[in-house]
Amino acid sequence: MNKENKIKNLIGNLIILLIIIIFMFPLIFLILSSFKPYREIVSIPPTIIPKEFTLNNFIEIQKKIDLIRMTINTFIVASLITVSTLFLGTLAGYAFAKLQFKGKEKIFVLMMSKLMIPTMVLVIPWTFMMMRIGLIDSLLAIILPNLSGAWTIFFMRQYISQLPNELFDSARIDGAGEFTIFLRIILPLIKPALATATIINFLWGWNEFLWPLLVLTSKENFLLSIGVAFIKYSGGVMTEGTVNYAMLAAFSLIYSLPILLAYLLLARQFVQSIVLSGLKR
Amino acid sequence: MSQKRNIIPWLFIAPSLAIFTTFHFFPLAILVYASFTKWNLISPPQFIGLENYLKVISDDLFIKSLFITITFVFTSIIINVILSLGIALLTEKPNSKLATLCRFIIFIPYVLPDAASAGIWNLLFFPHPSSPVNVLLSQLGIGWQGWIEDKNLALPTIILYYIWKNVGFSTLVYVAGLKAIPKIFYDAAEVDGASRLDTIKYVIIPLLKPITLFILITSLISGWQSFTDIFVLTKGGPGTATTTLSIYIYHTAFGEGLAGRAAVAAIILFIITLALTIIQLRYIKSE
Repeated sequence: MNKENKIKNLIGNLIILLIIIIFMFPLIFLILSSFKPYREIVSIPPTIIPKEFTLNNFIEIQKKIDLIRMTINTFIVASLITVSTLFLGTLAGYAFAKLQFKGKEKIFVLMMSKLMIPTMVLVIPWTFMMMRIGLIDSLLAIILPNLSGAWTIFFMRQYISQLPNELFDSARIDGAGEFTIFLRIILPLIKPALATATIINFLWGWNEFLWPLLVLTSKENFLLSIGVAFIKYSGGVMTEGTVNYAMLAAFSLIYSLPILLAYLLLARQFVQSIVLSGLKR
Repeated sequence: MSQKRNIIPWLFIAPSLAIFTTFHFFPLAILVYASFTKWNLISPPQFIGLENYLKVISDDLFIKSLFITITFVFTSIIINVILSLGIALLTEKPNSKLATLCRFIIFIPYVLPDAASAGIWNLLFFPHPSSPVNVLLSQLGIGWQGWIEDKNLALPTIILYYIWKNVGFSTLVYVAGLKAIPKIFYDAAEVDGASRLDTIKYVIIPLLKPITLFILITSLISGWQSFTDIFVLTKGGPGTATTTLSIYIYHTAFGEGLAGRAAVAAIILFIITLALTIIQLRYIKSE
């Protein structure tokens, strides 16, 4: 490598380092702020490392909106959505990939058209429907519309259609029913696809915001997502009308933590899954 | 037996089809009906014909919300594409640990839940002299700013947020695209004596055009509908400075109780999303 290239390489690495610092700072600042008292955040100049290390922000949030309960609620919602979507989505994906029936292509296109409907368009009718069936302020209202998903059906159809037909034909000749084939032959073969769909659906479930914001009214039913808005706009507001940023930090940290840890542990799978899912929402 | 075989596929798709019909297709019908009524979601709707449509298209705030959405989506996407292409070119080196670490780190904001990443942004840009960005500004000798509470800076702050949030994703897509370029193109450019800059300009960028289009369209579809982040950062304010179409619909339906009028705006949102998605599908097919 000649001298000129060495200098170019050094400059390149310095820019990369700068990008890393710019992107790491918000996360480090989030973690440090979570353990600071509010007055340190707004002192001039502010502290970077907490002078007084405190868990008070978390305790205050727990007192105000029951952080533990909200975390459990969010886990329940995201897990149920994931399990149900994986099961129902794979069933449908298998039918579209390997079974023959009338109108198959048309029904597939119809079901995929669900992907084009923004949630903002649906929440007005959903509010009306949930009022009629008495599900306002219940976690079930969040889970029901998400019991299956078009992306999962699409993804499973793609994955299963690559499997050779001989695998099922011999089982069919042996007299196995379609459901037995699904459980005994298909499910074990598609474990990598199930892992991807689990990551994606759990992330989506964990992320749900708009509909929970509208339909959940009592604090014991809150999800972590709307907790952020609550801390910002009502729960953490100080007497002079400013937001308690220490509490906002602590709350955002708790909400991010499971996802951050999963990303640290499974970075490669995360990246692959998200790129495969193509579009986030 | 053959009769039974014909029923089974339907049993496999029935649960999903029933859920989609009940919670996604049927509600669209309610929405279209609601758009012709005066309705506050609670008392029975009254039929008023096309009044909501006329009210919405003559509503200054609705027109403003369209402009705000378009400004925000296009500005953030264009900067995002340029920036992520730059970072991708910088970090594609296969054996550099620093480059791999960089791609790992800039993807974190994309993975985080929207409300949490918006919470973090709030923490950096809060309107007080001691917020990190304001401290940086005062180091540079510039006075502190109100950011999300300043009516001129609120939208730029949100645009910056979207770039920070999404640049990691576009970078990854670009890196995947760069890896797919056969080595022979680089060799040919080298033989011709092209500089690195010329290679990027005349070889790499044209070859990456399909990737660029993919990123443009997918970010357009998701940016167009974005709600969570903006709600957490500004709730559409200060005043109406960051009221995007989604915030407008939310505010009209659930703040003012004008569900019929909000339904009209929602139908417009849906039609534009539909058009964007169809363009995307056409494009995927043609590739």
